[in-house]
Amino acid sequence: MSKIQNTFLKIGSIDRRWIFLIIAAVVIVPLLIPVGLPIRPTDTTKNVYDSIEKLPVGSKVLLSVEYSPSTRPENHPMTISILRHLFKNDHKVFITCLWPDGQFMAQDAINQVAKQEFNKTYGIVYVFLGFRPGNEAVVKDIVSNLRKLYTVDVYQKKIDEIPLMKGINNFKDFDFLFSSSAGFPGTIEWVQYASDPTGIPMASGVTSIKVNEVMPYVQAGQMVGVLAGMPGAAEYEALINQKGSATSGMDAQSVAHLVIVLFIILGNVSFFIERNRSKKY
Amino acid sequence: MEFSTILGAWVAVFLTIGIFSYLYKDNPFYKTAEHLFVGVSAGYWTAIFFWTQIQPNLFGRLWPATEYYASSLWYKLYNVFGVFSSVFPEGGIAKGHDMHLIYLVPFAMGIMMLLSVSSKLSWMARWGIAYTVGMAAGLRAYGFLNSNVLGQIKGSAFQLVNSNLPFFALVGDSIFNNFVILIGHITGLSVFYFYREHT
Repeated sequence: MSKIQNTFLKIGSIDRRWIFLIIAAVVIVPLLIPVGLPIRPTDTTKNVYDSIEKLPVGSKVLLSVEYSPSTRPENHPMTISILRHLFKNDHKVFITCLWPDGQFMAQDAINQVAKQEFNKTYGIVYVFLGFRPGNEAVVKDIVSNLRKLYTVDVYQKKIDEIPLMKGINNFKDFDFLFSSSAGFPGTIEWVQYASDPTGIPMASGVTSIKVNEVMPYVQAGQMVGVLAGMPGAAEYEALINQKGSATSGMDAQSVAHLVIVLFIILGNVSFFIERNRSKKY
Repeated sequence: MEFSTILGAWVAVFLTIGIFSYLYKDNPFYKTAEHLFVGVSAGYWTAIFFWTQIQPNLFGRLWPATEYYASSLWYKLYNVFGVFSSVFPEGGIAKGHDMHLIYLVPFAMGIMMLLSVSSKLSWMARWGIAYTVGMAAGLRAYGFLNSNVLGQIKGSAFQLVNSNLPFFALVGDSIFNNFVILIGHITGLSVFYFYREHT
């Protein structure tokens, strides 16, 4: 018995750098050799999918990109899948960014989906308005008068000369909003200053850590649904039948979570053994 | 693939591993990556802010190309700045704006905020900061009241016993869950009235 206890104590006093190394290994291996764990869409993900499916052909959808490279593995697959779904259903897409880095993330998504996969025409099917500084004030401006804020697009082309922008003056001219968000400013600001005051439906894709902040808005009906972190992105990939980086990332994330839970259990066992021994002496 | 793309990827790999190397211990590779990140971020944000807001939306409204008149005093001043031709191009700034001289007010406030670096003139920065804080507080008060107070109250108002709902469901609406929400509300609010400091 004491041999087993000693083993647990040894595990408990292991150098933290070994733990980092093990976590790195369990993340890398499933990425190289996918396990193929099953993915079942949750209600909140299905609601986002259904809302986009229900939009009439040619609906005007505002896609806001609010994340940076640090959360790209979680947010980017959402943006890619949503773009694929919107173009597949022949909707018009207007892309804005509340984060400066979001402009580059959005450009990557446009290059991959709009240009390479769907070969969509710029200015007719989609338009890239880009980033404007000002946080929630930008959202307010889009709601009141978009043209005051955006006189040119990302490529410095005048808004008045872009055919798709005809008749688009403020947020009420859109039919749906999807916010791919990693924090402030992001989904919550869109709910507070755009969707709630105007009644235009919105959905969001957020990082796992932000889900708890956003979920009350979904449950209160202020948002139609949410893609919750990488699992949400993988579920959406399953719904549109096009697997991507979120699906393969889920294997790595799930295995890493299991290993972390195992470490927590081992750490606790070691702690209680040590405490019992110190009480004896 | 272009050489610059390959080089960029190698630099990204080097910097990423440099950052992760901190997990082992502090080292010069980590320090290099950290300092580069802070410096590049500051430069990048400044450039983005300037070229997406200050140049097109501030200067573009003060000296628009649509109202360019070379012999007017206002545009003579503009032409003095013309040495920075990428910011102040010849013939005014063509970003689709009309002239709005009211934008001189935020322009002045912005300059006043930058004066915080001077010990003698730093008091002027308070004006710009006061305006920004006031504007943000007003905006946020409205947003929170509308969405976080009214919207959430509306969302949690429901019929407690609804015959169309199942008695119990792990996920989604059910009579049992309605009672859980009601009890949660009452007990949550009670905390604020009955909480006593533990000494």
